[in-house]
Amino acid sequence: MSPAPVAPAPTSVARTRTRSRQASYLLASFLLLGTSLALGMLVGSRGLTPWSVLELLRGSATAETRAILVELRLPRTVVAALAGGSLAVAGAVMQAHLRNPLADPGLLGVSAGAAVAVVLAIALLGVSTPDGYRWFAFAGAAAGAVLVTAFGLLGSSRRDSSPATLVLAGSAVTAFLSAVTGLVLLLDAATLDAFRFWTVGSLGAVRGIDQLAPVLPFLVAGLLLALAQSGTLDALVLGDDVARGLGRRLGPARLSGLAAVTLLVGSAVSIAGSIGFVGLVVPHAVRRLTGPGHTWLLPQCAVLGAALVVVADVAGRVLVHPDELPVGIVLGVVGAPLFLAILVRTARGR
Amino acid sequence: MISPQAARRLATLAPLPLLVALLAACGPGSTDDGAVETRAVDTVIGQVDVPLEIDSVVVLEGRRDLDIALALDLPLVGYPYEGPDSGLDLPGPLADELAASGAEELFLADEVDVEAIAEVAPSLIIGRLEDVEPIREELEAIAPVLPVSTFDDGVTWQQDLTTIAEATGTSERAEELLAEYDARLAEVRETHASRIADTSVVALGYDLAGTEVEAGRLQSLVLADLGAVPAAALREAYDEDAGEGLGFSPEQTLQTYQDAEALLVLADTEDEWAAAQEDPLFAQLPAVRAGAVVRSDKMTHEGGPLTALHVLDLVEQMYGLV
Amino acid sequence: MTPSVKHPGASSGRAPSVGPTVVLPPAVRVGPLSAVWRPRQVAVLLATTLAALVVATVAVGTGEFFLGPGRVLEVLGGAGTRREDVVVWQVRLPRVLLGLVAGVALGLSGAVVQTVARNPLASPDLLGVTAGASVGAVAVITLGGDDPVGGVLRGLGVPLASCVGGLLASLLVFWIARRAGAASGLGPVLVGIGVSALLGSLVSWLMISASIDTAVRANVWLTGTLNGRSWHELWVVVAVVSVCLPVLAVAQARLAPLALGVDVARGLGVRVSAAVGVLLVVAVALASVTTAMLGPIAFVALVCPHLARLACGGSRAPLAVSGILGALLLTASDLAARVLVPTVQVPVGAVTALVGAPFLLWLLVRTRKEPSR
Repeated sequence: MSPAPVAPAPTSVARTRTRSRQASYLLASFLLLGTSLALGMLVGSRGLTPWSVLELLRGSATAETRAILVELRLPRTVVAALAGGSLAVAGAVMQAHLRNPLADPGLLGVSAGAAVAVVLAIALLGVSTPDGYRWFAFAGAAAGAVLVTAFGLLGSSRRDSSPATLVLAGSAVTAFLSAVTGLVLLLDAATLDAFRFWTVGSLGAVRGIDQLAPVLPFLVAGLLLALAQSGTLDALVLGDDVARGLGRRLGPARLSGLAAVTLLVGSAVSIAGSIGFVGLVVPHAVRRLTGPGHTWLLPQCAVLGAALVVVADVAGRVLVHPDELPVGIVLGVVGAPLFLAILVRTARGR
Repeated sequence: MISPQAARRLATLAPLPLLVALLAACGPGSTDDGAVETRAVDTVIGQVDVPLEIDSVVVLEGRRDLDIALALDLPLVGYPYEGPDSGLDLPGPLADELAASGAEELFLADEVDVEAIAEVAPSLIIGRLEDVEPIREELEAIAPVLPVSTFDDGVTWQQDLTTIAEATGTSERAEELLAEYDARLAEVRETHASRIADTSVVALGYDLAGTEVEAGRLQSLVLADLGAVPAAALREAYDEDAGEGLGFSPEQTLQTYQDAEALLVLADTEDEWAAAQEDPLFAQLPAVRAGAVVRSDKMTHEGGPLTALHVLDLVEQMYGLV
Repeated sequence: MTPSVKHPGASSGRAPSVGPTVVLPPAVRVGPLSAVWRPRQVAVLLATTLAALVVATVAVGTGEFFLGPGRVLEVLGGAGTRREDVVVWQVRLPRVLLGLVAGVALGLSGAVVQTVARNPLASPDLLGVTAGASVGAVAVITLGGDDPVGGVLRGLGVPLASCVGGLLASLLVFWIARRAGAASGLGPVLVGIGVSALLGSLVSWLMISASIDTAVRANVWLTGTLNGRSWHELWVVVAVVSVCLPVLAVAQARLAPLALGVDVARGLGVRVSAAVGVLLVVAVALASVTTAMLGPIAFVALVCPHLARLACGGSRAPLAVSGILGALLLTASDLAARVLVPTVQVPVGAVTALVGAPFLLWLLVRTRKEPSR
């Protein structure tokens, strides 16, 4: 055999194998999502047989079954999936742009910004329809994202800045915004349900699927924008200088990242409230599966993030039956230990 | 071995607890009210000395205490209000009597403001036990306090009415009110005899988190007094311990109240009532399809003679729709 | 020259033999005791005590009707009308005193934790102590019974349970941080954020499953408030503070060597583990009892030591000044909370968060300019 001079470039066979493996992972994730969606439809305080969904599709279900499945379970499952997918993708985008493994829309105050903007709009400006306050959700998410980016970029210019500073700043911002939200809700004598929805995230009050339709275009736009950035994100992770060297223009890249995060987080918060930890935990888990390439990372994040929030919602319905734990609390109980695990691993690795 | 620095610091901080103790020790100069004649009455918080001459009364919670004060024609000067943002859109059961009394709104319900009460300087305070207990000393420094209970404590409104009437020298009026209530019960029973015997009913609370039935609430108690036939959910609730109540999730709405032929629905806000109308499971209930539904809100959960009569009117209206 | 120095700064009767280039700080001697004269610290201490008392007097005068400071003193002396007496003695005075004492507890707690952890961002609320105390308190409240016996147990049990909860939470944070190899710098604080998030969710879970989620009350307790707090809560906090103060006075002599580092402290003959243990237990107890009686109040324990250090100069937070500053801050925040919105009783925790969070952000920006540890 003639000696090979350097490590050979991956052959097209190897590339296909990797691609097909990733594709099969994605397929498996979709199956997982399908299972969790089925769980979301089948599990609830009013026990329904597994055949009820088939009956529904065939049109032979009772009126009660139809009402429960179509008006109650389907909308909240879909909302959970959409919110989970968008928050996971937003988290992945933020982690790439900020080069911070601990970035998450909830932890860094972007979700809290959206929630505060909406609460202020409802309380001070009397905006009451979702069509109206959705714009405030976007505005709040944008403001939060700009603030976080500014803080993060200030830090990244120093070689030895730690990701921890950003998280700490984010927690300060979140604490501040939560105090403002709590204050406004107090003044409005709103019920704890409203508080829970906006600051913790809860799906108990979702009724009917109509409210989703107006949000969908923005959500999809955010997803597509994020997916389109995959190459840029890969370059950004390696550092600003490297990215520039690879021919990426940083200004437009930052702006489109900001836009993607705003659209995704704003949409998610306006339909499900401020849910935390999804954007942190899912990208880390997915990275172990797909590697750091964003072409596969982002779609996987979307699918698995959706599955995670749906499962968390189902768990919330089951754990304190017939009462209900808001999905944000379930994710807090599950996500916080995972955050700690990630922290431990990140700290050890440095 | 305390270092001098430690000694210095300790010396600086030590006076603080001493100051506190000192201030507590020299309390306000004993306010000797002297020659006010009082009537002693036994209540759940012990013996209370109520002055014979009652110039002004303040109530703390706004339901049973307010009802009894108004019904006994006591000189009411202050009561708690449900703020405009609370969302209650039905006129309360005591609205007319309140307007006639000329009393002022002192503080938000659930946030008893002792300062506002002190400013009004009433001669008597009537309040729900659980509102009185945490601030009992502060209230007793202003005026004697008569507690009322809720059904959860096992005390009916009739018992509280009698106690407070005894304490304030208005026992005659209390007798009249009790007789009026019994007479009204008999009247409704007679007018709707067949409907009462044949129709199963339940009073349920509706909000976005689901529905609930509580046997101790005034609506359920009036239904029991009337001899109404309880629907399955209400029967179950009667079997439960008082105060626990039964909660059902939104999904269980149709299943739970399927056998009820008439409903008294308690929806606090306009939004919740609208949500009930749009709820497909609620719409499929037999009672709703037959149109035998009457609405009320949380202000009738508890009360005294006036609220009981109001609830009786609602119940009669409900039977009329059957 | 003398390795067994027990009291840095105390002279033992004869001047230590040092070179002529060293200038000793002036010493004050009263009989057998002597100490370093730190005029700036004493001045700041007096000034803040005075400010705290003034704010407290104004706070006692504020409410439905306003009483000038002079009138307040007259009422306290017993010359008030019946109405003023009731309002001042039953409503406002216990609340203001509770604010003072709880503020002292928080300030001291923060100063001790920052000095022992040698970390400018360490504070009981960021290290999970407050969240742990909340879990302890809420667990006892929701899982304890309703009967009178349960009520008494709850009266004794809530402060105790919250102290235990706070202690366990802080141990958890330090254990995880040590396992991560990030036991210094921002490591423990990050872990504290994670643990606080977890425990906060647990508190919400407990409240929901016990159905103690009546709208306004739960929201307000979770923010930390002085509303409706009276003499009972005050006595509990005073009791715990009075026990902790002497312990702290004795143990704080070890604080100075500990601030120089564990190795230096050991070299100076300090029993490090014992000293750190005692100091942390005291700090946790102070923060936990405050949380148990007032609900979780954020940022006071973080902010006061920094302000104290800025005011007094020096490299570590002076305990007494930090404590008094805590009293001043909490009382002023409660006063602001009461007058901010006329019709609503705003919880004091909201005000401290509104003020403290920007301070933390500023602190982060400043800390970044220092070399990372």
